[in-house]
Amino acid sequence: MLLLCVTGLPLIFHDEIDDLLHEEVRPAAVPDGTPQASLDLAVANVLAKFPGQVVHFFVWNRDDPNAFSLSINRSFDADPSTNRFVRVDAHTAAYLDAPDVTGRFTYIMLKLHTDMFAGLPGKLFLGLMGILFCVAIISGIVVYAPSMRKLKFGTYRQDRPRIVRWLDVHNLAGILVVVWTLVVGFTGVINTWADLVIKIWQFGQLAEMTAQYKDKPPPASYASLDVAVETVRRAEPDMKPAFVAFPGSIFSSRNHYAIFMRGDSPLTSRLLKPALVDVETGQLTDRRALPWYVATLLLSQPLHFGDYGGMPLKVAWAALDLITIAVLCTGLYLWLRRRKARVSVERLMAVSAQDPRFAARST
Amino acid sequence: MTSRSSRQSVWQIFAVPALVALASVLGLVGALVGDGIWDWLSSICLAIPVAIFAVCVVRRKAAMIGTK
Repeated sequence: MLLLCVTGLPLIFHDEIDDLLHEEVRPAAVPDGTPQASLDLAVANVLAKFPGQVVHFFVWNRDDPNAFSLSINRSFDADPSTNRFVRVDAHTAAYLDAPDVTGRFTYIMLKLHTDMFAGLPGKLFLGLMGILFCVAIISGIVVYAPSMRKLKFGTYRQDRPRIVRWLDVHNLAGILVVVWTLVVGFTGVINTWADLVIKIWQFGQLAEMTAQYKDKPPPASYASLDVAVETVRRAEPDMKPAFVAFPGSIFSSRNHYAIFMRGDSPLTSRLLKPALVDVETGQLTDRRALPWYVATLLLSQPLHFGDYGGMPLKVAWAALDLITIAVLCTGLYLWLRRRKARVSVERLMAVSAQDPRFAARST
Repeated sequence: MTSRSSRQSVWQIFAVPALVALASVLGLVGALVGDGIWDWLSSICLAIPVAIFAVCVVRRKAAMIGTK
């Protein structure tokens, strides 16, 4: 858990750290209201730059409306987690850059934080740790009451030995951040199931939506992506496109552009609604809101990342993370001391509290 | 012996933590449903536990160093 809290801290500010450490090509400065470039042209420019590659996803960046991101790889069979992100100017369709992120500090932190470089087993292991963390928090609330029975809220006995002082820090900090740690802990657990949840959706709802195309041959021609996106925009006037899964990629069929739309309020912008467009005819064939289990995953992400309230919220997130680290360190110290000298520590704590019941229940 | 009146009830023990928990919930949900002012309100709500911790521990520590 300590590893997760420590690696999570820089990840709160990953955008800022990347900006600081890595140069990126800036999109051209344009006046407000400049129309967006043709999406087909953006795709063509990227494929001209990377001949032989295929586009898996076309992404409208949430934080940077001036650049599109295209996720490309050598084929559709390639593992999408090895995709490369290419940035394109959203107003001129000019190629910007395709940074290799795998050597970055934030990437290493992210891998340590999500799967410890061990793929799905690593993720599920960390998920299990997260569940144990939540159980530990709840048991902490239960033992908080007896240990605080004779102490006022916020007591910090600075003139007592370290073990008493750290016990006070552990109790106070723990109860103060309990809601935040439970929410961040549990949404983190949900995130470890993301791969599985997406698989269920792929083989469930997505398979249903594309069922009638199952035996169709691969498309002979490709309709314009601009037209396809425009068609979906007209059908969903209150939504904005978030990303397009290209025909052949994991979130679509061979015969569809899957255009994932999102709402424009802070809450609905997290939820996606896929609309399928026949890649030959450009006709909208189906659109459905994502099922509850994917919606839960999508809503749990901001609550884990703390990226939904701008810089002040990120700072609050970091401060709460630091306090959680303090809870973990003091907790570890108290536990080690108790193990090393069970009797003497218990006696010390009993003396310090002048109430043996307090010592017996406080760890 | 300790007198019975110095013991706190469960209500008394959890009064302040419950208020902090309520502020945390408001903070977590606020920025999710609104923008602009909501982002600030959320951040302030979530800063409450941090501030209490700072007042109770850090300030008292600093005061102690000051008197030495």
